[in-house]
Amino acid sequence: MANVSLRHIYKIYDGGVTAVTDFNLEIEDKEFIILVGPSGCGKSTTLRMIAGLEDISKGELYIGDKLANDVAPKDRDIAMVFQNYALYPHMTVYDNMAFGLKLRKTPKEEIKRRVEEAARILGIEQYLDRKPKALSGGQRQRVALGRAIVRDPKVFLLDEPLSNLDAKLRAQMRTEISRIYQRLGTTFIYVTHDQTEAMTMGTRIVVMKDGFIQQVDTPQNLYDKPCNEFVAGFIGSPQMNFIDATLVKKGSDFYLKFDQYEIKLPESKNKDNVLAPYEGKEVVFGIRPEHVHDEPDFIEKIKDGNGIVTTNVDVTELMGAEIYLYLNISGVPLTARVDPASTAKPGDNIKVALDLNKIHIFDKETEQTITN
Amino acid sequence: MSNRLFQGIIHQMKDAIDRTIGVIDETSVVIACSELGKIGEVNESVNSETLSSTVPFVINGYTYKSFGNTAKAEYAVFVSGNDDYAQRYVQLLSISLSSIKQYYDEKYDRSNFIKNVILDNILPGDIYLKARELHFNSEVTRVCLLIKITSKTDISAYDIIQNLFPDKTKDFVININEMEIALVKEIKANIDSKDLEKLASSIVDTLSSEFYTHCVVGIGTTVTGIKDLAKSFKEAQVALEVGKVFDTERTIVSYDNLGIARLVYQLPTTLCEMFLKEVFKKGSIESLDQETLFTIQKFFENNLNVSETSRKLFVHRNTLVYRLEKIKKLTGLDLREFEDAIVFKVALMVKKYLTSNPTKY
Repeated sequence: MANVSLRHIYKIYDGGVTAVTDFNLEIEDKEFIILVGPSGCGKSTTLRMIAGLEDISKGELYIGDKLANDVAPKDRDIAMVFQNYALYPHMTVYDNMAFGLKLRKTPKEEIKRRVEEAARILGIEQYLDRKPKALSGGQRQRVALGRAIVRDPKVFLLDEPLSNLDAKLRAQMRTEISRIYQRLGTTFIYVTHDQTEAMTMGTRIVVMKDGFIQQVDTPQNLYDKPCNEFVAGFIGSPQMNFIDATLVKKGSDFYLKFDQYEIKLPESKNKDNVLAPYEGKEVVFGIRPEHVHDEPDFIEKIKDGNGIVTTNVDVTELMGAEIYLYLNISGVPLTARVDPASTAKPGDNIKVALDLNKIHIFDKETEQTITN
Repeated sequence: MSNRLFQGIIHQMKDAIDRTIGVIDETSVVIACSELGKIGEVNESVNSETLSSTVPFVINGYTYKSFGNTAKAEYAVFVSGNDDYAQRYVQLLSISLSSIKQYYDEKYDRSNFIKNVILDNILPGDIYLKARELHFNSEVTRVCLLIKITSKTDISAYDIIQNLFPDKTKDFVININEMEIALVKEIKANIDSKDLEKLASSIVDTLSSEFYTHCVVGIGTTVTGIKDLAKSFKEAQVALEVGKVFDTERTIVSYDNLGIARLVYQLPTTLCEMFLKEVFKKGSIESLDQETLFTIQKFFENNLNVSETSRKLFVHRNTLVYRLEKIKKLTGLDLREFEDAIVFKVALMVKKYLTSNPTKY
């Protein structure tokens, strides 16, 4: 069993800097969990605490059923892969993977078995006699992973292992790591600042900011039901549009009032009367770029023009399968992800429709989600 | 040391030469041999006089050839037999062993030389003489990194770093003491400080990911010329020491990037005490509790923005304002004012500096 349990973990440095605050997380056995957040949010520090490379200031860490706070890193049955891995330049791939085991006096036969098995999993059997100089970036990355695999750990800790690769290779290695995870069937804890990596690889994602956990959920739930404005903005690319508005009530209906527009909200957005406390107050509403439509078919279907706004096109970006339109509503920016058939050009005034069933409303003061 | 070196070579060559081969030293002791039992035997028939011969010679059915770096031969290699092949073998072996010995001595000397340079154990005038003697390129750019192991480990960090930087003609890994290792690395003349930090990160990451060993790295400035390596080493030491006081959360500290800490570290302690007395006229800094100090730190982190800080601290804006007023009453400093805030910030650093009492280099 390699479940990892972090209970009320804090990291406070000697100088008083608090890097991680009240971190609570239960990681199940064989789970691929991703810690994601902007630089300095405490994700690497958390990983290093799990590894034992940083002391835990407060709280309890369990690996399996064992309290691991004071267990030496080498006895935690973990393996790590970090961003700035370095291979031994004068050693072959085989020796690079075997070096750590040799230093730990592992029997030769056992080393051979483990290295060959890891090489098979990684698909680098044919490169075992090569030196790092003769390998491509992706192959080197695999050797670095191999050094961790040969240890046969219960838990893998990966700290931005793909950050030093170019975009194409990063995409390839994402798939590769997911494949390795499937084959190894071990717990993976993966740190990244890249939300694409987080969304594509993890079974669950932990979004962090300023040392606090913001939300822990599956990729789909994070995307569809963000718990606050930060998570909503951090997950998704291009990021969610945020527009300041006032929530007004007319009869039993709620409206978002911004610029010259008043948009009637669907009843589904006011389940359990969540909007009532915000009547007459300023809120922020968010809408993802793919829920801003410029297709005439979509616009024509909307009754009373509810949710249709006139915008000015600033820039268009053709991405191949879609076009990003960078628009503004009287100066307020709005991004739309539309069909490549769109004819919008910079300088045009176009009508776009907001899919009101997909909007999110946030408390302007606390930035917490009111309704998704 | 030479004995092991020779035995290693003899051991590798014994399969290629199907005869007994070995090496004796100037005291006639067999120091390496393909027949392990012979090691340590004294061959009295070979003495220093016979060793001085520059051509192969035969004694008791063995062919010998002297070799060594100095005018006087220190060793002789022997091969069983007195035929033409034996003559050829000893000649070849003497050339090979002599070159290896020379290379080994040079390498050992170069590493020792660099160690003496960075630790200031050599007279400035001797640096250039020795550098020339060891064919040391004085014109290349180098940097000194000091790696400090902060966790106990049963793995030799020295061996790992040596393996990460195996080019012994360009990079020198030196054991300073049990916990500190210096790396003197040849680099490109116009290397970016980010690349140096990446290099340091690769050391930190390898030691921690492969061997669960936590370390911190101090980076000196890049220098051209051998004499200045001592300066780069001292800077790396200062960077680590300053980092220990002011940047406890960082594992890599570059001398180029110490900020205000650089100034504070240079101040005499008496001056610091005077400054603290002057700033905290109304009440001592000790009168501020941990919670207040944490509030102040968050207030600084959020650019003196009351709303933002209160949100980060999960307290009401008025609570924060109350705390700031309390600080003003205690210290006479209104942290919402930039002038007072900067005085307070420096005072906190000075306090840290005095409390930690760092080593001065």
